[in-house]
Amino acid sequence: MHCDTIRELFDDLEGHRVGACLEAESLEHLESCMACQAAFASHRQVTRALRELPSPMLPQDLLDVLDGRIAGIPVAPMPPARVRSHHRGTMVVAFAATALFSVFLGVAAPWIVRGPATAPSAAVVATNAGTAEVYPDLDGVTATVSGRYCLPSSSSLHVAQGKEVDVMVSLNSPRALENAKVHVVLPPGLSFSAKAHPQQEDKQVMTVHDNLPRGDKDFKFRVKGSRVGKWDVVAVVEAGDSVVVSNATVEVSSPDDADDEERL
Amino acid sequence: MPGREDPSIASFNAGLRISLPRLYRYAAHLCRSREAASDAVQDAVLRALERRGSYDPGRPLLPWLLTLVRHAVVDRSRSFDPFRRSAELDVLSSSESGNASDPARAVATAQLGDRLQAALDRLPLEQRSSVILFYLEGMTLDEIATIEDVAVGTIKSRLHRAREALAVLLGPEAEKVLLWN
Repeated sequence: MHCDTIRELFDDLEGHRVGACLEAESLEHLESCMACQAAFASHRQVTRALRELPSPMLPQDLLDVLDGRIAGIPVAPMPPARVRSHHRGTMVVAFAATALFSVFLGVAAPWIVRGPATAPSAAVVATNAGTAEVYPDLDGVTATVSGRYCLPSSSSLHVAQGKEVDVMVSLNSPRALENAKVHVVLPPGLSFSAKAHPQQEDKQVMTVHDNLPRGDKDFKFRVKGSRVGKWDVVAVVEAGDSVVVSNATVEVSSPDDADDEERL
Repeated sequence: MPGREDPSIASFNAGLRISLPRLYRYAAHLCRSREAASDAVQDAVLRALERRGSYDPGRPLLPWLLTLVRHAVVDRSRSFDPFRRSAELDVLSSSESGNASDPARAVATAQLGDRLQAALDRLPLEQRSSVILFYLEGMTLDEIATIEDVAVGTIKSRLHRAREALAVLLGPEAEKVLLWN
């Protein structure tokens, strides 16, 4: 094997992405070639240091503005960098006001990770409570969104405007999943209960990190119905590069309608 | 009944929202400035929303979004000094690196991180982008080639040249810290 050839394989060798024969041939060359040994050691040092570089965090004020834009709410653009540095205090107030109106209606998109080449967007969305779409990458894992007030006739969860309801994300996995994330994404008509989740700043998206055991695991969230309408609650379970998506519809009725139903 | 939104738009919006931290991280490393990164990400999000209708949902969203960020950075690089080193990123290196359990190691690693960041900044934009996408974002060579709109071989070549340059720029002093880790 030529030195130039093996040096092009360094990344693959390090990631064990070469076949057994090629790996054996490469290791044989490395044992006999001091120059390539040194080059490989240098390569590993550099790549290791690169992976440990600190990651810049997305600023909250920028996130608020972008959330508003994505939700389709007219927001003032952040001023150019030179101006912003001189008026940060004013802008923080503006961003805070914007954040109050920043809402996010969402259904998780499995194609943000390496999903199947033909991932159909329509298949991600289901309107009945308890339906789930399982992506093949996370084989065997199921997620179900449900709640106590699921009416058989409509298969929707119901809550009166201004009231709260428990939403359950139930997972079932044939194997333990380490460092899994469970995201619950609420649309504009719902928000996480301030009483039940006092530490939760983002009222539309909550993420729970957990090691999921084999078998069943439930996560309970309390949400408040803030606007009348039918809204999709979405749960996304991430494990490595794989996701499972599930959603359910929550119908928020006006307080008057809720009173009528109670009388009936 | 109010409150219903086209499912494909909702899916797109959700994917875009979840991708924002990674778009910003890529832009910040590419721009070497938090403020320039903020501007670039805003531009990219606006473009993404404008072109939402032309996006093919059968394709992964993240590479498509990163392509928009890269274009935004290139466009904006004409209006900011590409050799300006932002003091903010220096602060970032010290405050956001890990290894809190061993203070001496944390300091050494932070110093190395600063040096590596400085070395990374000196790479041409094409090489820097490939390095960030491959090592920090974990993209495949095929995905990077799509984002950069070049052949896979070109990406391999850029990574190879970038690593050589970084090794020289880091120098032998880095070895001690790296072996420590």
